[in-house]
Amino acid sequence: MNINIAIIGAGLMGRLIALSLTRQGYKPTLIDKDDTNARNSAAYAAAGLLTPLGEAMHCEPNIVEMGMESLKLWPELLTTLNGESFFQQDGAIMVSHTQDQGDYLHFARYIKEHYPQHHVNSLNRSQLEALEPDIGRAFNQALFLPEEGQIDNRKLLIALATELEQADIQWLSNTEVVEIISNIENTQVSYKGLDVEPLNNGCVTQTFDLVIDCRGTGAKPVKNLTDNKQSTLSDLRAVRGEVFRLYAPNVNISRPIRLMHPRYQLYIAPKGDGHFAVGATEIESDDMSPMTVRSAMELLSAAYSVHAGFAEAHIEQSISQCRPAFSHNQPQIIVNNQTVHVNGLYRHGYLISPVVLAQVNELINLHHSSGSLKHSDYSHFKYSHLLPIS
Amino acid sequence: MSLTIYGQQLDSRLLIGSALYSSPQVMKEAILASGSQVVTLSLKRQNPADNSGAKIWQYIQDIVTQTNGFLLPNTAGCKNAKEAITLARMSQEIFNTDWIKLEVIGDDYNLQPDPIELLKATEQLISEGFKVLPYCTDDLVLCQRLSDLGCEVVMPWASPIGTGKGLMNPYNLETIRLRLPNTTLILDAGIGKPSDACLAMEMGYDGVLLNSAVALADDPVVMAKAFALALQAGEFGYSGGTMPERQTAHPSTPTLDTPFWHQNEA
Repeated sequence: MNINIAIIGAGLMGRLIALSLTRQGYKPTLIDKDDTNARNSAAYAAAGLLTPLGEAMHCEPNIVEMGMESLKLWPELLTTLNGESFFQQDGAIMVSHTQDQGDYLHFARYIKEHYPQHHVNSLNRSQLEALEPDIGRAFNQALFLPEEGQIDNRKLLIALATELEQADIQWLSNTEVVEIISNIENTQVSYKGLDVEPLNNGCVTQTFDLVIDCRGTGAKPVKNLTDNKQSTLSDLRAVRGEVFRLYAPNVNISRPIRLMHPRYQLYIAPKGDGHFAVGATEIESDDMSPMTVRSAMELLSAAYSVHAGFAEAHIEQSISQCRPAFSHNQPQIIVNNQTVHVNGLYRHGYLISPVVLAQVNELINLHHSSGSLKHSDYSHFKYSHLLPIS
Repeated sequence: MSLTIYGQQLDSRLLIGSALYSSPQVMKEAILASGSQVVTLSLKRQNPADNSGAKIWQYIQDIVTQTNGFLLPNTAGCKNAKEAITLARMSQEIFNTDWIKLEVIGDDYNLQPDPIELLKATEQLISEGFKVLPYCTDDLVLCQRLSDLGCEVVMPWASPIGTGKGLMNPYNLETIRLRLPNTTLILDAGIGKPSDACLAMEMGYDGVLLNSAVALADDPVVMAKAFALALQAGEFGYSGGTMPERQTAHPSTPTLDTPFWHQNEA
């Protein structure tokens, strides 16, 4: 394939698109500010929950739908990746303390009314104990959502990097994109290495047939020389989230546990060998500074209230990151000449990325068959609502 | 039909919060559907010293501009007068308004306002020129003291924040209304259903402030409309003057045809 494609941003979406392109025989160039471990990405901070019904009360129905479809798409995406099994679909459990009982009942009613086609099982104490012996003692009842799952996001990011490196693509890590100029037929990208001495500038400009910009909160407006307009990412905002990574070898929980909370979507996600992700706060702020004491107390007391064994857990990491979101909290694929912005996956990155990837692939096929994205019609796309008319 | 808050005339008697919606867009649609012209927002958790919440603040500001309304920053999350005063000054600077919904929490479990710290903070902020809208419990003497300090608006709770339990102590709320006839009274917190808001308006309250009841509804936009109508119904109910309650039935049709030996049976 001789289309020259650049992917900017090597978080989850950037890696998945790069992988998909290499599997189709392309040799994309990947440009990213971070190193290949992606430690500064929202994808690294996330917990990798695949719990569409668990999210249902706090998102639009199409996110739930895309989440359900993505659960079917993940296994195939992961087949050729080396290493461990990242994907689990043994169900998730929703619990609540007595004081949040009202929210719990509201959730149960809401799911039964709005998603009758999906299974939700009410568990009593002994049924919960049969599924998750360690937490059965703490709760009189729970909801079991058997279709839900999770992915080990950090192992996945590493496995994706390994495969991309083996595919011998050009991966410019620690490299910042300075400017993108979108022409009718191609896109010019100027970038420079972050480790280059500031004095000798080191800025390189390269022309690509197609650029896919997956930078999340780091995305900048793109110059469009054809109509002298800037592509519209002005609606993009950052939503701060904080997460703990704990090591608690005495806690035996095998499925993601979601805990009703009046302000946040709290979860405990087991990551194997005694490791857990506990998150996440949700603050309308682009603040990237370390976790606050208040958030730490809320998250840790939530974990402790589910399992007293967390009292002796080691805090391996406290992470704060920002998720990219548009005002409707839904993803968008914005086409600007031969530049495609994939952004706004918010806290649903792992939940819906396979579906978003499928739409990006349709765009690439369209580019391949017609030589450009000029005057393209996306109405036949399965999720055409992801592609607003620009 | 209009409400006056510190000299500003408003078309709607509903004041609405900007938290807990599933997305900013849903918030915007719900606020516009509610007809409210006063939108409260909190800034404590958004690292205001670094302006980290600028994006969402601007988004809310744009909604308020669209309604020809006013932003009402609050001091949610503050636990003593000092903290609340600092945050009020910060929000004055950020939002360029002297309005402040003063909230000082005294108890973590039911988020009950601390009356003593609230009075302290009110006194200080009024001396600095703030227009204080204090959120308080339904205690007559406390409301009286707040009014004496110079609060033109006093906002007693219906029940604890976010509980949706409605008017827990109608007697107290009615007493406050009767005894403070010249203070603008806004029922704040604890509203769950449109009928709760209607009841407050039937009592003669000047307005209602709510957030969760709309934000956490299955369909916030529809619920916002329901509240707008409920407030209007309650307001008409009050100004129309409700009929007196009676112990015995009084038929609305004439009873001339009732034989005299039956007339004592009622």
